[in-house]
Amino acid sequence: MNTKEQPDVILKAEDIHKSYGETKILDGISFEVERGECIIIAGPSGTGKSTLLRCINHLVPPETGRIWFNGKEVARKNVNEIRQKMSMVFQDFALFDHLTVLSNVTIGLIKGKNMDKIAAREIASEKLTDVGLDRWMNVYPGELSGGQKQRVGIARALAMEPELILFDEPTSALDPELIGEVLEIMKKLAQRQMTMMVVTHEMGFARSAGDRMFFMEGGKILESGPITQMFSNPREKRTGEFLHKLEELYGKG
Amino acid sequence: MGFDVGLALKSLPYLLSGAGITIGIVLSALLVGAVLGLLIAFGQLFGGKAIQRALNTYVNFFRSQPELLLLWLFWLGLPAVGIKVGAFGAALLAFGLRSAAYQSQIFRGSIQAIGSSQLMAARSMGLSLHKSIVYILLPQTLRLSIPGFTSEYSIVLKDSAVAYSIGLAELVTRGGFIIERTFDPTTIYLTIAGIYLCLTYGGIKVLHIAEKKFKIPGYH
Repeated sequence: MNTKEQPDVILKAEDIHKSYGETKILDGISFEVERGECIIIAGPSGTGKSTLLRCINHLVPPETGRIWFNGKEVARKNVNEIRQKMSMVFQDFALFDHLTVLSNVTIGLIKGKNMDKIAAREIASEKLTDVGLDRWMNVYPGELSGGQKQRVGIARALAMEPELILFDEPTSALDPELIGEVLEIMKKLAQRQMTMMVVTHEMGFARSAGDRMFFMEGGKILESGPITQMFSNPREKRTGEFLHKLEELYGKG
Repeated sequence: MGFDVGLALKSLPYLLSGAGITIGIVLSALLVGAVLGLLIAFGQLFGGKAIQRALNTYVNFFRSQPELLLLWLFWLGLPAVGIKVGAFGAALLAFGLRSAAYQSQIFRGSIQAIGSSQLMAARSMGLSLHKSIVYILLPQTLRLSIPGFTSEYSIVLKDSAVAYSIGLAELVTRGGFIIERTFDPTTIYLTIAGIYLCLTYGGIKVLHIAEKKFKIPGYH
């Protein structure tokens, strides 16, 4: 038994394919993610980055290919159980408009994990304190700023006590001055060794919090590697061009 | 012949009890329509192909027939195959099943207005489709549907007058009985018009209050 030398793989995907009608979105994606890693997924729009995240938790079931989470294959019959350990944060926040901030965070615990209300409330208020929103628990999403909304989205994801969080362009719907507050929280999570997969164009965040990057184009992972190497010495010319362009546009952070 | 205030006042109690029957049939039909309409709307959006096709056929059928014809079909057709429903039952079926077709489309529009990402968020936390509908989509669908439902109420209320044709003792039928004895259609029909006005206005008012009361804070 030399399990110590074995990498602790939390997520493994093998040859994922997905099309919408005639259009091929994912064209054979395979990768592994180790526990505690922060993976940055970058690439031009329309390359299937969001679809890839949705295939991982079967919100969009892949056509062919297999995914394992903690060694268990993700399938139709165990998907609700697996999703409770794999949270997701959305570009448009996807908060439940009719529920208060507190209820947005507790509903997954109460209705998904069948937790009692008092315990759920305790966890929720802890996570909302974490993201600096403990004083906003009783307001509705429509009364918050974009940055606050996304912090609720992150608290809602954290409350499920996930082992992996999927971030789907979490800051791209935010005004520039609100992006920082969200990225700060995500950096803290990465420092605490939360396993994360982040689709983002924020290269400053990628450099400071990311461990590895998947550069996607045309439904494939064109190149993957450690963040610093991807920036300084990419294998593919295309990777370098794209990342350089992003840094020009968004700054080095 | 002018408006006979004395006759109007004298007829009022009899007409109001007819209005009670009108309200009874309208509210029951709207309730049947709401329950079935919700099931149809969610079925159309989340059901399998066969379910969707069956529901589309239902909606198209009930929206394509004159209400009078539907009423007669239930009133005369059901007894012909050995099912006794009575005038109230026939009216409830005709109005309720028809309203279900229209209400389903009000609800479907509301569900689609919520947007797919909230449903995705609910599913991403491991809630089943059923729980996501009950706890996330349904509460918002009902709120968003109040304006459409308000106009459905005012339509069903006035359409209920066709129950006159099967002798259900509602508002217009009772007015007819009085006119047969008094030969004063002007007074009676104006009185009935006033009652319909009050029922429509009152109902709309109540639903407007509900719309405000259930409005989600910060949501436009």
